[in-house]
Amino acid sequence: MISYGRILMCGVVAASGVISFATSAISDEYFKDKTITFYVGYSPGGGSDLTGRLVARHLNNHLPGKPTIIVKNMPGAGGVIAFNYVGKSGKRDGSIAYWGSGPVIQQLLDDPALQVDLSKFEMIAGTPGNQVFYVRSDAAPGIKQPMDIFAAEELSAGGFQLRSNKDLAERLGLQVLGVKFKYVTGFKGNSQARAGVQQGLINGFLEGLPSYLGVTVPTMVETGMVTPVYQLGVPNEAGDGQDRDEVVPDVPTVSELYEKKFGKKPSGKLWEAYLSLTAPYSISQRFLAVPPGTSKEAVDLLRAGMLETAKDPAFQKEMVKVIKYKLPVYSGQRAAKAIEQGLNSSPEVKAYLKQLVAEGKKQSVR
Amino acid sequence: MWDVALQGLLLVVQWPAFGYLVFGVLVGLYVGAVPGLGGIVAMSILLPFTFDMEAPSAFAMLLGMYAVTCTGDTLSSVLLGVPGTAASQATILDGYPLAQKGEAARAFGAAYTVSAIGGVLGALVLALSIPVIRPLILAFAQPEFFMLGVLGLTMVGSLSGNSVSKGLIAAMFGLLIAQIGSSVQGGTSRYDFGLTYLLDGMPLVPVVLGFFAIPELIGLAVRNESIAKVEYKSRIGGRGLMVEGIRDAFRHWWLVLRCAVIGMYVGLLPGIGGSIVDWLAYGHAVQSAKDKSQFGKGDIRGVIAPEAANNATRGPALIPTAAFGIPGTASMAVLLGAFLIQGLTPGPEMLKSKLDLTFSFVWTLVIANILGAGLMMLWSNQLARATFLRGNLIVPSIILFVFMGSWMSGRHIGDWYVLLLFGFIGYVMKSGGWPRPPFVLGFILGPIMENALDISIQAFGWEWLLRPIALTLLVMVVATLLFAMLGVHRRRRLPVKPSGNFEESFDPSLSLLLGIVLFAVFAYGFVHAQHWSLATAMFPLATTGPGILLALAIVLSEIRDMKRGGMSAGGGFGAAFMAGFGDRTSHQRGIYVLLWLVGVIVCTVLFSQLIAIPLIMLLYLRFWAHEGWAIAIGQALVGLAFLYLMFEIAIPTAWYDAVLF
Repeated sequence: MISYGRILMCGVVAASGVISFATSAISDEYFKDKTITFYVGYSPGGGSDLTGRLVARHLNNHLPGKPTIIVKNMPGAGGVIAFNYVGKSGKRDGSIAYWGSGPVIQQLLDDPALQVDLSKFEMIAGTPGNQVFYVRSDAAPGIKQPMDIFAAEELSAGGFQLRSNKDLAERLGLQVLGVKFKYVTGFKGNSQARAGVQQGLINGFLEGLPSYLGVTVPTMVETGMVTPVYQLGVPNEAGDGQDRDEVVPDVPTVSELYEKKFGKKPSGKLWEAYLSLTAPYSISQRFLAVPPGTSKEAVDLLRAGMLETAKDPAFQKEMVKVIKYKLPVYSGQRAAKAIEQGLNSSPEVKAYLKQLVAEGKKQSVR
Repeated sequence: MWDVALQGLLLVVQWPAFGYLVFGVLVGLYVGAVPGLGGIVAMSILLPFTFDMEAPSAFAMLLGMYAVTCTGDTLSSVLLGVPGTAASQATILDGYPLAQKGEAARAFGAAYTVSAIGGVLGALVLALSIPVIRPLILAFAQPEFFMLGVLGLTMVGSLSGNSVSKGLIAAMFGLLIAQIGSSVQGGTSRYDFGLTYLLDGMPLVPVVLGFFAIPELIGLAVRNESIAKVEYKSRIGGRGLMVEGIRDAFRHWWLVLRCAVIGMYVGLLPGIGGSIVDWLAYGHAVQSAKDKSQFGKGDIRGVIAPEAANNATRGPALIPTAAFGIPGTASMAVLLGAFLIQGLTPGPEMLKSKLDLTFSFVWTLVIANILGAGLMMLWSNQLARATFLRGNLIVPSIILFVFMGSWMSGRHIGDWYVLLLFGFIGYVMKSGGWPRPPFVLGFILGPIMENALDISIQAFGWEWLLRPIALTLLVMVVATLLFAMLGVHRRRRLPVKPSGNFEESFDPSLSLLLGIVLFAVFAYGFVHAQHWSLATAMFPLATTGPGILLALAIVLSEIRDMKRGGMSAGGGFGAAFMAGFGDRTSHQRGIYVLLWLVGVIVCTVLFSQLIAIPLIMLLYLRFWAHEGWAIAIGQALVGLAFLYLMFEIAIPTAWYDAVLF
C-alpha cells in the first residue's frame, strides 16, 4: 500500500521542480512581451524628456526578454504629478517607472502636493545634474571673469519658483560668496529665463548643463554676452564637497571662488546648507525609480540593465550627439544613498531652507 | 546666397524628406481640423520619431505639420462653430454664420487662399529678416507680453458681442477660472476647494471644448436641423461658391496683406503669439472697414483677416527659436528639442554652416502652405456638405471627437466632468446672449499674463509701465475701449435695431440669472483672496473687483429692461421674467441631451471608452434620433474602428481603467 504521504511527497517534489523551472524561465525572459512605461514629469523636448527617451531607447537591449519601453510625458508641479502617479500606480512588476528630476526639495520642505514618500521608492539609477551660473558681461561694473562677481553691483538672479532646487541653490551659492543680489522668480523653464537674460529682465541665471552647453554656450557665452561664474560641480573623491566637472573645465566651483577671494575654505551654516542642497543633485538630479514594493527581481534586473546601458557605446554616442557630453550614470544604490542624505539634512539646514523660501515670498510681496 | 537657397530646396524635395513633408502636412491638417488636438500635441507625438531620422527629413515632417495646423483649423471653426485650434477662434464669428447661410464653401475658398498667401509671405519674411530682427525681439519682454495680453482681451471683449460690459466680464471670468490651482509663484494654492485634481489648475482642452462644442452639440441635437439653415438646392453647388471665395480673397488683397503683416509681427514676438493673433487681425478688419454692419453675420472679411494672419505667424515664429534659442511658444520649445536631437545648435551656426538647412525650413513652409491649402480645397467641398446633414446624424461623431479630445489632454476622468460643467456654462452663456470667446481667451492668457506681470514687477517695480512699447500698447487698449463704447452707443441710437436673418435671439432671464451667479462667484473670489499674500492676491483682486462691478451693472440693466418690457406688454416684472426664458421645451430637451453626455461618462466607468463611445453612438442614433438600426449600427461600427485605429494603433492611449472591462 502506497502511503498517501509518499504520493504527497512525489507531488511536492514534482511541483517544486516545475516551480523552480518556471522561475528560472522567468529570470531569463522576465520582461518578455512586457511593456515598461517611463513617466517623465516634464514636457517633451526638455532635458528630462530627452535624457529619458535616450535611456528608453537603449535600456531594453540590456534587459532579459527585451521589453518595449515607451515614454509618456506627464508634466506639472515640477515633476510631482508624474511622481505621485507612478507611486500610486499599484504596479509591482517593474512595468512602470519615473524618470526625471526628483522631488527631494519638495519632500524636505513638506510640500503638500507630494503625496508619496520619495525614500520608499526603489532607485534604479541616477544621473548628476551639474549647473552653471552665468552673468551678463555688461552687468555693472562689468563681469568679464568669475572673480568679478564679488564687485557686482546690480545683480538680479532669475529662477523658476520659490521652492525649486534651482532657486535655492542659486541663492545659497551667492549668499555663500557674500554677493548682494535681487531675486526674480517665476520663469517657466530655461528658455524663458535665457530670454529674460537677453532682454535685460535679469542678468544672472543658473542653468543645467544640457541646455547650457547646447544653447547658451553657442548663443551667449561664445558671443561674449554672458560670463560663466560658477558651477555646482561633481562630487569629489572624499565625498564632502564638489570638484570641477571636466565637461566645463574653465568654470570654478563656489568653494574655489570663495577660497581665492577669502583665502580659506568656506564653512558655517550657509555652506552646510549649500552642500546638503547640492550634494544629492550632483549624483542623482535625474533618476529612474520604480514604485515602492516593486519585486526585488525586477529591481535587480533593471539596475543591472542600467549599468550595462551606461557602458553601451551606441548609447554614449547618441548621448553626446543630443546633450553634447557623456552623462555619467550612477548605480541605484549610490543614487538612493545620495537622496537619503539630502532628505536627512539637519534640522538647522531644513529650517534655514524654509526660512529662505519664506524670505523669497516676502521679497515678492510689494 | 542663391546657391544656398537652392541647396535648401534640394534638401526638401529629395527622397525621403519630401515624403515626410507630405506626411507632416496630412498630420497637421488633421490635428488642426479636430478640435482639442493641435500643433503642440502633434509636435509632442512626432518628436520621438525624429531620433531615427536625418535632419532634413525630421524638420520637413515637423515643420510641414506645424505650417498647416492653421489651415486645417478653419474646417471646424466654419462648419461647427468650434475652434479647431486657439488661432482660429475669431474665424468663427463670421465663418459659422456663413455656413448657416449655406456658404461654407465660400468661406473655405477664401480662408484657404489667404492661409496659403499668409503662410508663404511669413516664410519669405523668415528668409529675409533673420539678420535684422534681433533688437525687435529683445525689446519685447515680459512687461510688453502683459500689455499685449491686455490689448488682446480688450479687443475680444469689445468686439465679440453687442455689449462691451458682457464681453469684458466674460474675459474676467476666464481670467478667474485660470487662477484655480497653484499660484504662479508656486507658494499658495488658490480656489482648489480641497481637491487635489484642481492643484494643477483647470485643464485647457476640456474647458475650451466644453465651452464651444457642447452648446453647439446640444443645439444640433435639440433642433435636429442642419447647420446650414437654407435649402441645399437654393445655392449653386460647392465648386462655384469656392471659386467665389477665392475671388473674395483677391478682391480684399490689401486687407490680406495688412493682416499677414500683423500675423508676421505677432508671430515674431516670443510669448503670446498664436492665441491672440486672430483677434488682433479681426479687430483690425472691423476697425478699418467702412461698412461694419455685416460683421458677425457672415462678412467674408471676418474670415479673411484671421486666416491670413494665423498662417503668417508660423515662419517668423521660427526666427527666435532657430537664431537665438528663444522659443516663443510651447510648440517651438518642443522644436528646440528636435534641434538638440539632431545635434544642431540654434544660434549663429544656423546662419553660417547650416544655412542650407535653415533655407530648407523656409522651403518646407512654402511648400506645406500651398500643398495644405490645395488639399483642403479638394476635400472641404465634400465636408461642407455635412452642414446640410440632419443635426442628429453628426452629433455622434462630435461626441466622439469632443470626448476623446478632452481625454487625450490628461487621461483623467475628472477632465470629462470639467468638459460637461463648462459645456453647461457655455450653453447658458450662449442662450443668455453672452459672448463666449472672451472667456476662452482670458482663460488661455490668464497664467501667461499673471506670470508676465509678476516678473515685470519683480524686475522693474511699477516702472515697467513706462517702457515705451508697453506704454504704446496701453494707449491702444484705451483707444480700443473708447472706440467700442462709441460703436455700441451709435448702434443703440439707430431707430431700428439691426438684426440679421441668422442672428441668434437670446433669453434675457437666463442672462439675468447668469449675472447674479457671476456676481456671487466674483464676490466669493474677492473675499477668499483676502487671506493671501499681496503677490498671490494681486491678480485675483484685479479680476474679481471689476468683475463684481460689471456683474452688478449687467444685473441692474437686465432688470431695468425687463421692467420696461413688462410694463409695455401690460404685465409686471414677474411676467417679463417668466417670459424671458424663451423656448422652455427646447431648454428641457437641452438638459436631456446633457444627460446623454453624462451617459458617456457612466458607460466609460463601466466599460472604458472603446466600448462606451460606440455604444452611446448607437443608442443615441436609435432612441433619440429615431434613425434606423442600419444607420445606428453602421455609425457605431465606424466609430469603433476609428477609436481602435487612432488610439490603439496610431497613438497608443491609456484607456480608462474600467470596472467591468
